[in-house]
Amino acid sequence: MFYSTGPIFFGAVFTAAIWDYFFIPPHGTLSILNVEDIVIIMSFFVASVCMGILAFRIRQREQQLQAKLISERLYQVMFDSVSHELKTPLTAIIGSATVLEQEQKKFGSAHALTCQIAESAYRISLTIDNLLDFLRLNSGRLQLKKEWQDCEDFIKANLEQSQHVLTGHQIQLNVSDSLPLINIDFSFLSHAFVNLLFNAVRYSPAGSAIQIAAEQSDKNIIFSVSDCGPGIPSEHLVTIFQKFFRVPGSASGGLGLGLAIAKEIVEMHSGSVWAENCVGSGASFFMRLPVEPQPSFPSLGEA
Amino acid sequence: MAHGAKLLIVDDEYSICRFLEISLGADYFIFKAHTGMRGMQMVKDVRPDVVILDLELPDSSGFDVLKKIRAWSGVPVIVLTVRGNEADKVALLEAGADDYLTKPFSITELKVRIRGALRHASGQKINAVFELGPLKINFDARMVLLNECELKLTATEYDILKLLAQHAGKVVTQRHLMREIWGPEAIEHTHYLRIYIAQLRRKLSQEPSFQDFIVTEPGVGYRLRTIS
Repeated sequence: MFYSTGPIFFGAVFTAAIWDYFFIPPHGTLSILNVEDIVIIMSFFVASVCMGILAFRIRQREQQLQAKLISERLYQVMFDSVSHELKTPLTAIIGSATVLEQEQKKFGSAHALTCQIAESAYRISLTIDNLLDFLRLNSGRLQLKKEWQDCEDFIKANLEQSQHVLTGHQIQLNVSDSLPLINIDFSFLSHAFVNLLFNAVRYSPAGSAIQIAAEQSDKNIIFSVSDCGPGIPSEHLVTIFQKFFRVPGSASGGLGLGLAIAKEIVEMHSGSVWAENCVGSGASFFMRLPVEPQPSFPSLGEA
Repeated sequence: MAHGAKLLIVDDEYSICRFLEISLGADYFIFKAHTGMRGMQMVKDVRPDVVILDLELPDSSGFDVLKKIRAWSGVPVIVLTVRGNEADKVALLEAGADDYLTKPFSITELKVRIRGALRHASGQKINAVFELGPLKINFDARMVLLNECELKLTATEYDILKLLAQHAGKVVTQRHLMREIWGPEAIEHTHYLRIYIAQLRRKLSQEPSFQDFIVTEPGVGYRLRTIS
């Protein structure tokens, strides 16, 4: 730990000198005549150095706490206001668009345009979520709230919540029976999974199939999302998970954050993500989560 | 029943109020309040059938408004929140909110929640029989019929289904489920719930339209879907 030694040392010397001047005979001088006096003056010096250091440390600790408090408060205020200020107008846009959508089903082009408004707004909403996640992950303030969850439930709840983005695609689901429970932060890991889904939607032709699977392999559960898109150039299979990286020449749009966030969230769960090109066409994204020792379950024998 | 009910919107956001007014105005009488104070006053004056409450208000948090309303009124309250704060949602439900919606939401979702809230307010609990499409639950006989055939459930599965059915359409927090079924000391053992919900879903999915009958609200709880 670093102390500002100057003032502490100076203070100690100064007080020792004052003591010497007034209280060590001969009074009124700085001279020291015997060994006993040297010991006294030295112990006095040591004591004042210690007190100086202690005072300094207390002051420093106080300042740190204060700064932390302020930054935490600022962070929370910023977080709340960003999500409120951006999400509220989007709510009005999406809400209005969904009303129009229902009223206009008879008029083809107007209906299509309204769907477009809603879909675009949902996209902005997802981007905001990703930006907020990005901030959250970088803030070091994140704590996972883990609970035991059912894999199939996890996938289906996410499909349900992403319905509006998935409407243009055929979803094929293939979840193995009786998978073990996984110990995860449901809503946070959902962001990772939804990002993989959204990635598949964005980079594959409308109406094409997206296959979602979950199976156990040894002590892991492997979730996968496979699309019928153009696949990923093999030199980029790893780099696509880097922040702000986008495959050169790919369709515009996107910040290059979704996959990086997915990776980080899954790694916080002691898992991993990777991508592979499928035989033929398309890419598969995998999410591996370790199977932890299952919780005890006393009353399964119930009739 | 829904037609003509009084709806109070407590939100300072002009754009949201306007969109809600236009889209719900045909079915309900709409009242608006732009501050928490005004909202509480209007709950007293107007006696609305449902309150839609935004969490962020200029003069107070929607949380405080909710608590104050709950001190003297049982009017159904649907809270509008933003994503990412599951703990807040649970706290809201435990403080007496009837339901919540995460921004951005579609009007269809909101209409479903409003109908659900109105149905519960009209005191459906007294019924000894619950009916939803092909599903019938006779609470007195503890009997569940699916397409007129008896569905064999374990005691725990039945209790879970009963609790969800009594709140059909509304979210039931997992804490609530755990407390009611396994007792307060088991509240942390949420894996019990996962296993039983999975079993229950499997049994109910004999009926194809019940594939997604029990909806998971991530981090909050479960709800029975009342319309498909």
